[in-house]
Amino acid sequence: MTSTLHVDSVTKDFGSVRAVEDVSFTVDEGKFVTLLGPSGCGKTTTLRMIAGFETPTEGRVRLGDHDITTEEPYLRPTSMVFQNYALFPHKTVGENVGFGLKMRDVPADERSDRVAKMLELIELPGIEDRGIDELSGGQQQRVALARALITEPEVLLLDEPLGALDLKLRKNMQVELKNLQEELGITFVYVTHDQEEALTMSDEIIILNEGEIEQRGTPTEIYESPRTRFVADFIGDTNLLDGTYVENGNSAAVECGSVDVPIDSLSAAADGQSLSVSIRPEKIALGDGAGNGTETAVTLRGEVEDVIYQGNVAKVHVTIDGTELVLEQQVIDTVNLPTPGSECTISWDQENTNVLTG
Amino acid sequence: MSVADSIRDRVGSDSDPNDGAGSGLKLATLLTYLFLYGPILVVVLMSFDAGRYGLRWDFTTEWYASLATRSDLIGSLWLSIQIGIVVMIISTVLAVVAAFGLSRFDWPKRKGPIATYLIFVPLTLPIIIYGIGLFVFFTQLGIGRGFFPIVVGHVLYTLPFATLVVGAGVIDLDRSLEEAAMDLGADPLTTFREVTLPALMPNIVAAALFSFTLSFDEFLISFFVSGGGAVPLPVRIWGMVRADIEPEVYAISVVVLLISIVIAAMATRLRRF
Repeated sequence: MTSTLHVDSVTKDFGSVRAVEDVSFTVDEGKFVTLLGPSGCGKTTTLRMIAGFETPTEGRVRLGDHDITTEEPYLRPTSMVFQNYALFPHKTVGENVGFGLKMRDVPADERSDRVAKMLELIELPGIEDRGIDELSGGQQQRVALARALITEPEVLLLDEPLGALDLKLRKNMQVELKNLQEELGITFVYVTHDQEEALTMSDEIIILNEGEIEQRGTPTEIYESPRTRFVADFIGDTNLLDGTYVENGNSAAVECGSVDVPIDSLSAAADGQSLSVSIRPEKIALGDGAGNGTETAVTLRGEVEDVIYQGNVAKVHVTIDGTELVLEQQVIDTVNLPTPGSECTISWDQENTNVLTG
Repeated sequence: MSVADSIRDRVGSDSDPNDGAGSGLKLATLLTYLFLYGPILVVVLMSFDAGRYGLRWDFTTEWYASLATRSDLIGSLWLSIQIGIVVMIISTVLAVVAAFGLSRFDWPKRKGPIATYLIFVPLTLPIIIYGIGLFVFFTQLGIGRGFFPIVVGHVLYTLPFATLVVGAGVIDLDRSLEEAAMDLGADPLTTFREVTLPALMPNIVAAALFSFTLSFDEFLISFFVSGGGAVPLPVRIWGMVRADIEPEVYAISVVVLLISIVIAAMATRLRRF
């Protein structure tokens, strides 16, 4: 059985507000896909349409060959983990976790066996009789996960499930969630606004902005090769330079104020067209060392404006005729950090220049 | 923090050595409570007073003993309890329906707030108008006075209060709880039974107790539509005190007071209200 999740040209209007516009994607069985974007980008609405809590204004949602666009939420083989967990406050942990089985008329003794196994899986064995208000935030999160997983859904939908946890717990849970997903082989569709969380856990990331998909790719693709200005800016820190495309014989460049950034000539761009480029701070090196002779290096001369020491790394702000670039250096020896006001050479591999077309 | 706590905070603890006005405050507090509970205290004292008009107060329980033989008072008390229970059930069920209708129904533009407003307007209207209206209405219908008109009148009177109490719970209700239940395979009816209703239970019980006490105490509507052998206790008592207060009235007042205290204690134990 292949139950690939298909979201086909889905649009959702709330009154006159368009929350999601013509979004299409597929998620193969057993994959961990994250919908990532700022608040209001339509990621939660998309998730809720998969769960059945919202009906698309246009478009279809399919699971394998089965069209579930208008199927009631209680008939769908999807489960959701809610942002606030939505654990039933008047039921015990055991009753919460076993709820889905009770709804499927699983006999009581089989139910309690499966609840016990599920609580072992989330490493909280034997807490069936506890009340929800006796659990810590992290424990509630696990119980919510157990409750959603016990019905063996084909797709697990997670709406910012780690948002309410503190940083350290969140980091641990990221790894645990990913391990659990790989162990169970269930399709996960995960919604978050936290780019680091998305990069850590996902097989693929779909970046949404103002209801539309900006880019889809593996974490590496999204980080290393952002295609739009929005993606480059939203994921990680970067140097964004806006300029115009200039073609000159065999070479091409983006003129960004005082700095010309050489790029490969683009067949799709016309001379004089506005373009942006993005260069990650950690790709830029002090000195002309980038390239090592094998790659085409971009080398520029400038002045060190500021050095911000951050422990393991230092951010070096360099101005090149008034244009500021930030580069990130590993701090191996604090003596080697440049001093503000000094002249310097910076360089990076040309392939690390991302030309942003959107 | 409860109101009592915050008042205690503001008044200050009486062990505060810098508080020179301590004894004055104590006196003022004592007088306030005396003012609040004085009239009730008088009724309680009178119910145990052997001499009916004398200046001396002698302890007796004889009025409670003779109360047991007063079938008019006991009958009215029992009637008030019956009316209270019927009103409580009808009012609470309707309040749950109304609260969901007001907050969940997909009202056309701006009709929702108007509907909500119209439910709560009766809270501000003079109750006597209800009494007159109901009297005329039931007389015209040929039903006249009695148990049924009293119940209808009391439901009209208690419904806005009950709706307010249940509605507060519906508004606070976390919709994702219901979504979670449906997500796990519960159809709408099962979701309502398994999740919505239990989550609202404190508000529903509070609304029920509220409805009962309001009905149990109600006088004005009852006054207009009671009769034909159906005379609730407040109307009965009123009829008895016009000329001369019989000591059994004090005794039954204390019984009523105890019933009210028990219900109030039950309501206070509901954390959410």
